[in-house]
Amino acid sequence: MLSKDDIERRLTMWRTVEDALHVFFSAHGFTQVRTPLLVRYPDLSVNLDPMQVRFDCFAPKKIPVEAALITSPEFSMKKLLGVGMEKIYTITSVFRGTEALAPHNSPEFSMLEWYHPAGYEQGMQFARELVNDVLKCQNRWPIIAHADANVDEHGDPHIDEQRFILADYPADQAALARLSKDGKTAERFELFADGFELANGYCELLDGAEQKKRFAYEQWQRKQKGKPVFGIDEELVEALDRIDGPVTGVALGVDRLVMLKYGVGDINDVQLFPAQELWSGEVME
Amino acid sequence: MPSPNDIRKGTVISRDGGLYVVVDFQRVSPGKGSSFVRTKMKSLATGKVKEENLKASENMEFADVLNKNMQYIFSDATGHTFMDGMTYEQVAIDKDVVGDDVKYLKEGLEVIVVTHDGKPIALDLPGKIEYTVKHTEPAVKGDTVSGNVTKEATMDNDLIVRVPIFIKIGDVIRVNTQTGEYTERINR
Repeated sequence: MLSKDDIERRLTMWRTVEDALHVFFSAHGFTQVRTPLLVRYPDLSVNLDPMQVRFDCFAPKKIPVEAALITSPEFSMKKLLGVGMEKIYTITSVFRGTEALAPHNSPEFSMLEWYHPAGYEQGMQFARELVNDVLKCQNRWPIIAHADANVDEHGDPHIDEQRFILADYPADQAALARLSKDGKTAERFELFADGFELANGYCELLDGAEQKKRFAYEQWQRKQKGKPVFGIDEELVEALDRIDGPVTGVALGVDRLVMLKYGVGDINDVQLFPAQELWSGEVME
Repeated sequence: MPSPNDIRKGTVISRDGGLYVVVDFQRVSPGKGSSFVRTKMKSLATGKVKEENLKASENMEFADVLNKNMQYIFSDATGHTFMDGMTYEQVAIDKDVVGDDVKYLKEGLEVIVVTHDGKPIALDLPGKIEYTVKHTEPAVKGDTVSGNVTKEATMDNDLIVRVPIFIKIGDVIRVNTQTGEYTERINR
């Protein structure tokens, strides 16, 4: 365990960042919401490995339930939009299996996610302002099209900018985003800072039928890869048709924002219970 | 078959007909892409360094290397000398093999020396190393609210690290050798 002084120091870093977030969202008329960590229908993306949970539910007789921990609060957030909420945000733990123990990764981390009525460009601008506000900096975050960023086969851009927004992803890399008018790219963007992804945003797809088709395709992809195939969240699909667009949603890694704010290079050096010590089983020198 | 996830500092990769020693690596799991290992490797033939992203699912070919636990003893003009604690055998390692990591060395430090064909090619430091603070100015009353107040401290091996203001002379701290940053104070 860390010493009390170290715990308090790390807590202060988190509190400073979280306070700035709450102040920013409150000033822009957002409502903070709460979403479940345990769900029946997790994200279906073939690149994600939701952690599966089995338990017995007594309702009123014993029913075994197959569930998973969320990889992001996205589905629940969109259901809230479906009942008419407009500007919402949450800060929650999320869980990702097969996430390597590495300086920027942890199987459990904190995610900030927000949704607001905004088009694509407006959504990017808001994300940029939010991050600059928390970091107390004036970074330009230039927008660079995916096609111009020398992106390698792993999705890693190779350009000279230190902090930038990578935009206009190929249509097949954004199952939950709206397509551009010409249908060639998706309205998806990511904020990159100092060599890692900080935030991922979509101008959201709000067409239930189309979403269902994309989910079915993802199920097929998962099956091909031998990964567990989860069901389609019908409540989410129905909610999409009830949302007035455009809506932009962004997910941001809060641990990484804390790291950026304080110039810390390793996620384990900002967490109170460092993932490496929880999971690697490796005894530090 | 090893995969890029098995890569560490000092791993020798056989690639494109040549041998490369990994000098640095970083695992990256993009939010919505497949994970990969950003790898910096040095050609054993030419000494040239190149960076490559290796897909985590890719099959790799590793060359045979010998990993030996050794202790750092001293440095002189010819290089840095390490000793095998079991056999007392001593090995001098070229300065350019150790590179910037020299600042982390302290007497008695246990490291892994990687040898290939009998030649030391890399040093694998522990991820975190403990040092005793030899000198630092006492804390000054001031802004402790923002959480990032640090000061300079000199370790027992002359390594200089930014530390939080509650650190005092004689404290033992842990330093992250990947980032060069203060990690935590050790409770004694």
